[in-house]
Amino acid sequence: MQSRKFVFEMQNLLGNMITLFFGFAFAPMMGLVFGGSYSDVPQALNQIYLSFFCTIPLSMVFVGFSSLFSQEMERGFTLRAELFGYSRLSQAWHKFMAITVFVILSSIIYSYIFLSYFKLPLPNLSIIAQMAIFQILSTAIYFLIVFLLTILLKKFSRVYGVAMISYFGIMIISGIMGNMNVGRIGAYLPIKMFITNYATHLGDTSYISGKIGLYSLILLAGLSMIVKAVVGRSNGNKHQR
Amino acid sequence: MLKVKDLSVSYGNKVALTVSNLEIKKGEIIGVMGQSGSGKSTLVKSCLGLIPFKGEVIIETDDIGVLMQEQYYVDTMTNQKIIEGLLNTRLNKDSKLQELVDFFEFSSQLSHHFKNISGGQKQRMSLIMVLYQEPTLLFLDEMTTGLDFESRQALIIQLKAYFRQHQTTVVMVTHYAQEIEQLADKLLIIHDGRVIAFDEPKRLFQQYVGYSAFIIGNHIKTSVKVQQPDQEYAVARRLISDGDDFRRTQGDIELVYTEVMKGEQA
Repeated sequence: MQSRKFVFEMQNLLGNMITLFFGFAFAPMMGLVFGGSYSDVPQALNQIYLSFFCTIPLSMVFVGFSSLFSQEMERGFTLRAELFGYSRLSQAWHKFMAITVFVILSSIIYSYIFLSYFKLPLPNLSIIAQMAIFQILSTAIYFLIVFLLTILLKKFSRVYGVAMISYFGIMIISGIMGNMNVGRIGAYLPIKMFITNYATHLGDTSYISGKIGLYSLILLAGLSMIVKAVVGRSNGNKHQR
Repeated sequence: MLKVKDLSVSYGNKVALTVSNLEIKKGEIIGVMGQSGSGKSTLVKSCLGLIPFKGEVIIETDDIGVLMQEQYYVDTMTNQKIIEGLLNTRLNKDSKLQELVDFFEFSSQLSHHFKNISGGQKQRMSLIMVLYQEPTLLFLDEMTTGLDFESRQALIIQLKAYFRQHQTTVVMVTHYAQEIEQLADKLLIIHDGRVIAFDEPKRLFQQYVGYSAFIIGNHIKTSVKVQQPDQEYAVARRLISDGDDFRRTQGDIELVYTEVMKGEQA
């Protein structure tokens, strides 16, 4: 990783108000609003805490990053950076690292605000580590989806439209937003699995769930292969022999 | 430095460019002219592998720099941070970058945002980043389009000094004959997707215009071509007696371009 490029991507995210609002302010705001109605029901508070905890990478990538990256792509910045020797893969890697740092930072801030406001105990280190891994894997999955969308659709309006539909779609299907009955579809989303599993184990000291991590890794591997094929195709041999 | 053989680029069913043979030597500056849509940018893009093509493009270096006509960088930070980020360096610790910033008199623009600087400054900023990589081969695609006369002139003078100093091979697509006159060693003219002339401007002048020409009233279309030195005085006397404003030339690029496009040799 090149330090100045990483700093560049961090500054790029910091300069984007959409990323800052949806990445940092959305989860604490919603958490406090919804949590206020269930302040004396610990199990419900756990569920609300985890629900909005999961929205941090989702908002950061689908709302913030998708707007930033699709505009860069549409206006030719991505190509220009490539011509300066900052390859597309390197751009993706540095962007991902910057977003991951933001997601972790935002998760810490959100957890501090929510847990201290509702006077909930801090989960033990093992659970915190699992939550951190989940956030990183989720960020990676969402990042690859938005990266793929941007490479394929190119235009800001198209990418942002699809990203926003996906964003609200995921929140509805996973039960974070509204009470729509979508059957078993939600069960296949890592978010839903995470909330359901950890809401009852947040206070445990010995709970370790490898299932969600493994499921996320399989999703990640699948997406990586698709991205590699698509990027490889668009960057491949241009000769029409 | 750059060899192109049997190049063919198509957009759908339409053949946009064919080049049977083109060779550019190290240190040469090539000016590429042609009407809009003639295939100039297509030539650059195919050399860079940005579009699909048939044939062969051999580039004897990996140090390639490109400056596109339109510039866009992110608006989320200052120009200095963009430059440092994309070049992975720190301005205050990098003498090479400092020299380029000074060379293009860009220091006062570093603290601004990209969207707030003028077109000429935008081109300078890109040039700083392109030249920082010390490209052996540089493609400039209509770099001064949209700039006012003074900015264009200042940029050309700066580039001329830089290219002379660094022996850079340059392929420069432009609409401005003045840029070719001041910078290029050879002129390449593309028309309807075909290379119709490629040589030193002076040789093309001799081939398509003749010994010299008198351009009347600064209009290329009203020019008198002179084939032999001893004819010049007679032509000049006639123009003076007619009361015409005129200038004599032995290398006007606009005139060469017009005559090449007509396809009639002297």
